[in-house]
Amino acid sequence: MRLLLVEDDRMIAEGLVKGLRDEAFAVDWVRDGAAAMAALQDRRAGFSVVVLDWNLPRRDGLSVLQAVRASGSTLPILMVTARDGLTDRVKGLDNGADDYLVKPFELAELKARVRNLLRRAQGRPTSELIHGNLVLDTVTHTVRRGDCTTLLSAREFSLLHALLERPGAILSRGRLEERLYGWDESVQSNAIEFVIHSLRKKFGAEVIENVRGVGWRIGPLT
Amino acid sequence: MKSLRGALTLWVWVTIGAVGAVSAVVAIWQAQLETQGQLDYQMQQVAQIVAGQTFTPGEQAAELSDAKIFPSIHVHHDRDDDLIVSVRNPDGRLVYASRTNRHLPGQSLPDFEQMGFQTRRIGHQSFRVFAARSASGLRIQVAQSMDVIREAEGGIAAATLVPIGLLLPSLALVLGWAIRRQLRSLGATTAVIASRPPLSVELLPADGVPLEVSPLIEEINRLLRRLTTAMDREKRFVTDAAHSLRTPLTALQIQAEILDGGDGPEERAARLAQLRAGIKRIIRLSEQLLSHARSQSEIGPITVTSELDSALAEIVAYYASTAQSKGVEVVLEAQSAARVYGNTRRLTLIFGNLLDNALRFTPGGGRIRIRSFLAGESVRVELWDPGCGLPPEELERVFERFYQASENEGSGSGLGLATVQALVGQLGGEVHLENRLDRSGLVAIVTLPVAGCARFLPRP
Repeated sequence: MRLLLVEDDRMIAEGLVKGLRDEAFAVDWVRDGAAAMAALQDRRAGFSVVVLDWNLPRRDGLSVLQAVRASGSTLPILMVTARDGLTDRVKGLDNGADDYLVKPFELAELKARVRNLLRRAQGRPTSELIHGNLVLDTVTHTVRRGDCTTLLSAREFSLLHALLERPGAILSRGRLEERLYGWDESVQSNAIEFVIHSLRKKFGAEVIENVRGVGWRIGPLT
Repeated sequence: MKSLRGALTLWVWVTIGAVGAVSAVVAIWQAQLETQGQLDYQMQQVAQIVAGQTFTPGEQAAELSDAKIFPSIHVHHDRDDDLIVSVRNPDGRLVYASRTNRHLPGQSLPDFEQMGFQTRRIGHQSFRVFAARSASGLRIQVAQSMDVIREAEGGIAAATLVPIGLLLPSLALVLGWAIRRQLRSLGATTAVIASRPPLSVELLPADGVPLEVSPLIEEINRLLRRLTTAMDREKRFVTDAAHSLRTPLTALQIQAEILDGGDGPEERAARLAQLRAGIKRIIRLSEQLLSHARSQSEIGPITVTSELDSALAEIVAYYASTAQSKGVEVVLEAQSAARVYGNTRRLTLIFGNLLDNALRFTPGGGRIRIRSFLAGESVRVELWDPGCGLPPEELERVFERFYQASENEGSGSGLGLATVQALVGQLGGEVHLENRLDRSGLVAIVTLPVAGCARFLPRP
């Protein structure tokens, strides 16, 4: 799950990056509005969600928000700010923020809100992704299959999540790498295969199908 | 406490008393003048009438009845108040004397040489005497007891003084009442003020207030307006301060939450180090808030002076370890040899904040230069850092409270420069930032007035 973090305070940003990576997000961090616009206009980045600070150097968060919405994008955006006034909150929401979180907040709440934004964006009623007899819980990062519940590592979760979002769709290596890794993370050439291998070991080879030369998709589980 | 009403009443009464006393004196003086004139005239008239009479030389004056000569002349009804008359022929023999008078019992007027009006003592009594010589050579003397004259004067004076004596006290009473009544309108204003809530800074109503009181009300309102401004500033500061705490607190919160995540002991140690840095940041911010709040409080004139160069040396020494750990060299060229106002603590805050900023923006291996030198009546301190400078539009804005320079990455409190500006301003100096002309960093320039005649101190 690729997340764009726009935050000018280094300490907050570093904490969020780590916290969100623990949660299996591929986090890209930029520290001003102009950089945020550049990142969002990069089509290949394919962000699933944006955490946007209001007070930013060069171009403030509200202006970024307006520009994104003006371009017709429905990308889920969570506004994070120290501005707690009612008018500010209303202004943020009215300008297209999907949610609004006031500093100081707890990381757990930010994560929950981000998950919620993703769930709503994907039109799911609950935090679970279900395909056949496989249920992925996006809160606990566990997979339930029959009576058996298995905890996933961050990468495993991200990869499975990506495949389960649109069952049947084939995702290329590049696409998966984008979903799993931020810009500044080094990706080894066989990293994706390594994650797929460990998933197959846990749930059986049929869970992920390899479409030779194209990519991978979730298997028809029953 | 001085009572306006008491003072006014006292003044009114004193004035009325003085007016009463003066008018009494004038009345008595005028009564004297008038009575004297009248009685003198009377005596003159009598003398004239007597002069027209003929006196038989043989006739003994004492035996004569007054009625024979003056059938109708009486000064007063009281016969004792009658005029005393004596007539002498040219050789000095008494030809006529009025009958015995209470004031001059059993004797007639002595012979006075002097003509005209005079005051004489006869026995124990004073008399007003008019002496004249008739055409036929008769020497006529008319006298009246001063007691009678004074009595008459007293009567006239009383006629004037009694109404004054009655009127003035009533005037005093009426004025006293009027003063009390007029001052009651002040009581209404007092009631308005008394009924206000304790922290109300609403302006006092100026209408319906007496003309004399309205300047006072206006002054109070002016004070209230200043108070409102100060309170607003205070409120804004508290809000801003609470706001400024949010970001570092958020960082702390997040850092604490991610502590138990992270793979491996190295990552955990890194996260713990970050948490510690976050706590340090909060502590620093609270210190900055405190010194900023102190810098905003009003102070009297600063008389204490310090040696600038040694203060700078101390500050540089204090930051030496920070500089060293960053690999930054700090060079001090202190050449002012001047004393400036302010104690060491204040100077430490001023230049410590500036040096702290310079250190923050100086990359490792860089060199910060601090120069101090005299420039006329003031001393100039320059801090040169090799950082990246500031966009021109931010050079002034960074002095605003809680303004964070865009390159700052949130490590500052947004208060340092605002505090420096306030502290320098209180010393009568000024501070500003300039980009180095080659855009290779920033120069902070502080000018401070030299204290007293310190610039004549010998160089060390």
